Amino acid sequence: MNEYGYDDPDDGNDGNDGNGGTDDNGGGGGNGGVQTFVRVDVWTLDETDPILVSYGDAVAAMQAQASIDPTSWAFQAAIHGSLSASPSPEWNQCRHQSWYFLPWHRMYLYYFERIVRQHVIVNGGPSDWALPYWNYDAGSGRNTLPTAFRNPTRADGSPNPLFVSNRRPGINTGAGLPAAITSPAFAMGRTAFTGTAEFGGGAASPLGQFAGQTGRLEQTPHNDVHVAINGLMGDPDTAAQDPIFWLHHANIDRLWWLWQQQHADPTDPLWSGQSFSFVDDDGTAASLPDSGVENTLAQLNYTYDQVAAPAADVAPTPTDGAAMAEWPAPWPQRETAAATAANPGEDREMVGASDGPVRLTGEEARVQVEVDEQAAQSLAARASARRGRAHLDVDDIDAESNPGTVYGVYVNLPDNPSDEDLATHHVGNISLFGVERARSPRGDEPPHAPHVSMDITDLLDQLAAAGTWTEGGRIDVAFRPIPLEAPAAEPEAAAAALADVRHPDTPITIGRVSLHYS
Amino acid sequence: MAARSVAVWRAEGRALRRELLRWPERRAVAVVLGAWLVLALLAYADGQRGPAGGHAVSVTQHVGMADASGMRGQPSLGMLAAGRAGLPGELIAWVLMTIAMMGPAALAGVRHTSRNSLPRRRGRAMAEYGAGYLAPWAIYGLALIWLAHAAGWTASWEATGLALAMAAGWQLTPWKRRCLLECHRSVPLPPRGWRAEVASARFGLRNGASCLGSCWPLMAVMTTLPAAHLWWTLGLTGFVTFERLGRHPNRARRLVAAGLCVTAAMAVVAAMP
Repeated sequence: MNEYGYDDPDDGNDGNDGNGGTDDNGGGGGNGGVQTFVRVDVWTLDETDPILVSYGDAVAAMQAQASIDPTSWAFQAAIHGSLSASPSPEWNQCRHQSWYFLPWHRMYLYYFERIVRQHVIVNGGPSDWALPYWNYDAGSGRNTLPTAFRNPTRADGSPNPLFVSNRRPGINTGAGLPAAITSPAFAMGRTAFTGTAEFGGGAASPLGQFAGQTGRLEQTPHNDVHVAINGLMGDPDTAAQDPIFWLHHANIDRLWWLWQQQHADPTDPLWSGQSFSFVDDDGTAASLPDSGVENTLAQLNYTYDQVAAPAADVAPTPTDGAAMAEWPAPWPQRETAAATAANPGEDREMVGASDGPVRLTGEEARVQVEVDEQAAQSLAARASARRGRAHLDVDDIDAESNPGTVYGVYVNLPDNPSDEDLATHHVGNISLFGVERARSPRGDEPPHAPHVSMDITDLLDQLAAAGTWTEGGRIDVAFRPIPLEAPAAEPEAAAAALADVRHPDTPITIGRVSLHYS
Repeated sequence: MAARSVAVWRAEGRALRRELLRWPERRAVAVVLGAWLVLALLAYADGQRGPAGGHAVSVTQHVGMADASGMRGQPSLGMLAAGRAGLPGELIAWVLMTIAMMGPAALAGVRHTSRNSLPRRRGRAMAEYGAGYLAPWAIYGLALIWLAHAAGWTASWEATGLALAMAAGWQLTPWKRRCLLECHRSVPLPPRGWRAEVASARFGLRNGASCLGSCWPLMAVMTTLPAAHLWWTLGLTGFVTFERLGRHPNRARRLVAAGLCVTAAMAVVAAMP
């Protein structure tokens, strides 16, 4: 333990020396006498660490259980999604593309962790076992799959329950996830929870069912990492069968936990009063409301092995040319004009859109968005000043299946861009995790087209200041596929194969790109 | 599984009310309310003049079909229907009823069209969506009116019970499920030019056609009612709106099927001497 009450990755400790010593502010002390569990960074553990070994043993034990057993691996994975033609009522429950994404998955992990802990204790593992998280954005090679998950066999030659063979080629051999995929900077810079261009996603609305309400954290890194790993992870109906799923989601949960240190969750009863049901460690049904999972320490008795993010005023901007992986927390704060509104996106006005669809097949594609002069002037007159925020929306995204490629979205990107250009003009990503379900839902939910919204105000201001864009001018939007980083030791041919992300047989169609002012 | 408290339902109601009153979609809300107002006024006028004395009359009378006595031409739909205005009057009455009953469910599409159009063409885009939405319903109405004339349909509680039972059965078919899901799909809306006009109308047409596929038996029920149509119109509108705007379409579909079964039983009871 260090002075902050958490295990320093460099102190040689295995991160499992008892866990009553942290709280959400990084201070010492327990949680009113109740045992507190600490989720640790998986990259601070070696392959033989009891946390990982006992996780693997528990996975194997759960996989051996009959799928009708609510605490079995198959049943737990199916709660998230299932390809079964005759699903149990408890299956296919995951909440995506809305503001319920974060609380639903926090509950899901909480109950799953309790089930695994039971197995760990039965197997003689640590009684304070907690899910590790995979912080792929921490630099120093941590953007590669943790080594305990890569090999078909364990050190003793037995089958490795944490290994999945059908992950994207290269993932199991050390290919890196690029910073453009792993960085949570776009999400962590948002100060509001609610809204499609905000941290947690848009409010589910009876009249707003045509498009998904994906929040920034759900899109990047959540969706993008799913798609980058691919295989079971690439489809919500199979994703939770891959043992790395749970570490990925522990990281997403950690990012929400970090964000919560400085920002407020929704207070609308529509969000806070919503409950979801799961299976507890004794196999019985259990449920929690969203308001019951906002404070992980006080309400769920767990925390993370790091201090909360410090104040934001010293943060570099995400567009200063630095590699994203080098951006430490805190992330730049992007104040929105209506950050306190229930749904900031509601007050937007469309001022321009592309005339036709864009087709993506794995190569760069561009589209122009003409700003409607009349609309922009009318808004400017109403505000008696310059426009407020500017949002770029990628609407009506569709594909017959997920091609497994993440695309970066860039505004006014020069031809033959440098790395600095790419960093400066990058405004977000699109990836199609869950497109099959959006087209044809397996659970009881309406279909909706995936939709991504990005706040590009700061970039437009920068471009205007640099004289490369004038207010009301046309906006050029580029979609560029983001390939994996080849491992250093990879042969040239294999590296070239990793870089080739074309998918002519599974094109993505973007119905429209639109610009909205608020 | 998800559970919702009363507070959540209330919050949802408040959110819906907020959304309905937002500019510019509230113009569409006004159109729907206007249709209801006209229906209510006509029902009142018919009740004042009709043989039932004080009871609102059947929509079958409104669309000029047979009344409880099996005779056409009884007082109905004020100045419009009941043969006075002929086929156009019957069709207008049908469209009016469609706007009132399907309008609340169609507001989702109106809102989507409005918010995804340039401000200067929002009104036009909403109108084009509305026209596209109503087109398949008007064709269906014409077919029903023609069929009623050709077959000499007689409005009766027995027929209402039968139609409701058929509607309940339809709720449980895979075709119904598919149509209901289709009601939630959008099309890209270009910003300007003829493409924008066509896309708004096409979006409405697509939504209208899928809603017709989803709700045609429910609307057919309206042609069988012998009396008190306004309350039935309200009730069936509630079913349609609940199912279309609910967050869980399958659950809503089954609940509506159960509701229709109960309503069918009520109609059968009403038919008893």
